[in-house]
Amino acid sequence: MSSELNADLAFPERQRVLDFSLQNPRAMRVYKAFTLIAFVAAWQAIDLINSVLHFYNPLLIPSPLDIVRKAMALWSTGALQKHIVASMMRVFLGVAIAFVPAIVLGVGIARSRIVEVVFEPLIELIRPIPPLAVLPMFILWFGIGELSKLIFIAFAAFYVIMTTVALSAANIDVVLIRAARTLGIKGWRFYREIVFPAISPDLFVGVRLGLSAGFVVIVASEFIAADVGLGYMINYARAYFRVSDMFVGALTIGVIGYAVNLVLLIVERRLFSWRVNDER
Amino acid sequence: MEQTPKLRFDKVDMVFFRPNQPPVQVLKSISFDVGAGEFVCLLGPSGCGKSTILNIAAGLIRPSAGTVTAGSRLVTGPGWDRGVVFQEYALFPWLTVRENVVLGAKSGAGKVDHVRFDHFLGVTTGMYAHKDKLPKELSGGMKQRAAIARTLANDPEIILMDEPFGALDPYTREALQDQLVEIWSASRKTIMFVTHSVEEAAYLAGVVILLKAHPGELKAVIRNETRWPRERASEELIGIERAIRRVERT
Ligand SMILES: Nc1ncnc2c1ncn2[C@@H]1O[C@H](COP(=O)(O)OP(=O)(O)O)[C@@H](O)[C@H]1O
Ligand SMILES: [Mg+2]
Repeated sequence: MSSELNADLAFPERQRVLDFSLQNPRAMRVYKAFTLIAFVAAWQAIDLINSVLHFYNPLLIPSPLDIVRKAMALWSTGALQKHIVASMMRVFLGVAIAFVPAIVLGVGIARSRIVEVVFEPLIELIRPIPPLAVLPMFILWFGIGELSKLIFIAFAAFYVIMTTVALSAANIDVVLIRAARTLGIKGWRFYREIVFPAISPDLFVGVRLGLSAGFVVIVASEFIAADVGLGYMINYARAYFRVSDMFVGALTIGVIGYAVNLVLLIVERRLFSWRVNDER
Repeated sequence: MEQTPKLRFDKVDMVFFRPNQPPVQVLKSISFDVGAGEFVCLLGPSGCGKSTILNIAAGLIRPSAGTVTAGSRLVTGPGWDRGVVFQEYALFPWLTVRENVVLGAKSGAGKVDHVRFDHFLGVTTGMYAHKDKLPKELSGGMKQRAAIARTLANDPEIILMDEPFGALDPYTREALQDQLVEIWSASRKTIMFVTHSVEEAAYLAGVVILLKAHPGELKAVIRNETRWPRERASEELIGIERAIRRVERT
């Protein structure tokens, strides 16, 4: 981070084109892409050597090419897309369910002593429980269908979003709050026109983290009871010893998580350009 | 002069209680009157309780003892009749200048008079050209102009200002001082203006309320009868500054 800053100060735009040093963020990006490619190539090379020397079972660790071939095969039958859509729908819907309660309780706990005293003890008690620990209960209560998965994801995302919102709402610049009060903005208007816009950049971060949490836990819930979804695909492949399918499933989740995060980061910059420290 | 004051502090005490620390008495028996249409400066060293007095007048904090009356009503919370301009500008960063100005007034009489807003932005504070900018695009002086326009748009009877020009460079500060005086003399609003600058108080005020610190107490009330237009660094104003400094030393 700091090295990028230094580079900005030290090098005018024109000189940077020919700057191959590690101080140049653009060069760094190229190098990073290169190291990634190098690792994949090395893996492929090891697989090639192994096909001659047989020092490990190639069925357990397929080569990058095997995985890509498998992914293309799964894509051409439409199976991969089906699993992707199912998992993403669950994550997005689960986060959507958590969204409103997380905002209401997060803002409530930060800004109202009554809400704080009623809900905070319970929330703090439940917080340390890893979501996975309650999954079996959710299945008993809500069945093995979609509902238990959605609620499970909502549960995992709720804490992330609520905590981010509560922290943000507690730290709204007191001068802004005072200005709002002296301007006669109160009641529902105060929350809608002052609190909500003030916390919205952090809320957005909360949603981004909530989606990440959703992608982390979705797989587990699809292991247990599902007939579609990337978690199901991985677990099903395990039963039939299709390791390439398992790699495809895991890597797909990685790519989706990365892409969703990237899109949201871009949207975030657009949406909250009013922020003073927005210098990107 | 004998009419009811616009703002009256009557034996106001303020004690802050902090966890695990002894309570601090910040204000002790503060009493003063501000007449209608007066320009009053609260002057005193940093930490003497000027902001606390202003916040109490605004209804943002409640005094530990004593009463504050605005017009004929007891102050129990923020109200229409008292507008505040903060040193930190306090513009809502997600709103444009114009939206900031409109925002407060929406809670007022219920209708938004756009002609009046543009008047405030344009004629009164010279911000019309910048009305669609975000606060982060403005200089400090422009931010404070926008904040003043926002306060004026609410049409308060009393304007409370907490070191509004304290963060500005001297040129901008003088320009804004003159603009404020113009607004004041045109509207005849009551202004209570907090500052720690003797020059600023002597230039602006009709009445200077001098405070001392630890605990914050009223030290003296100095009248400044100098006629407008005033001239900075004129004999008359320097005389007032001298009078203020003489009292300050005692
Ligand atoms: N909420 C608070 N809790 C405790 N002490 C406070 C609080 N607000 C102000 N003070 C103290 O009261 C004194 C006066 O503060 P303030 O009114 O801001 O002074 P001024 O505006 O004249 O510089 C200071 O010593 C400050 O530390
Ligand atoms: Mg102050």
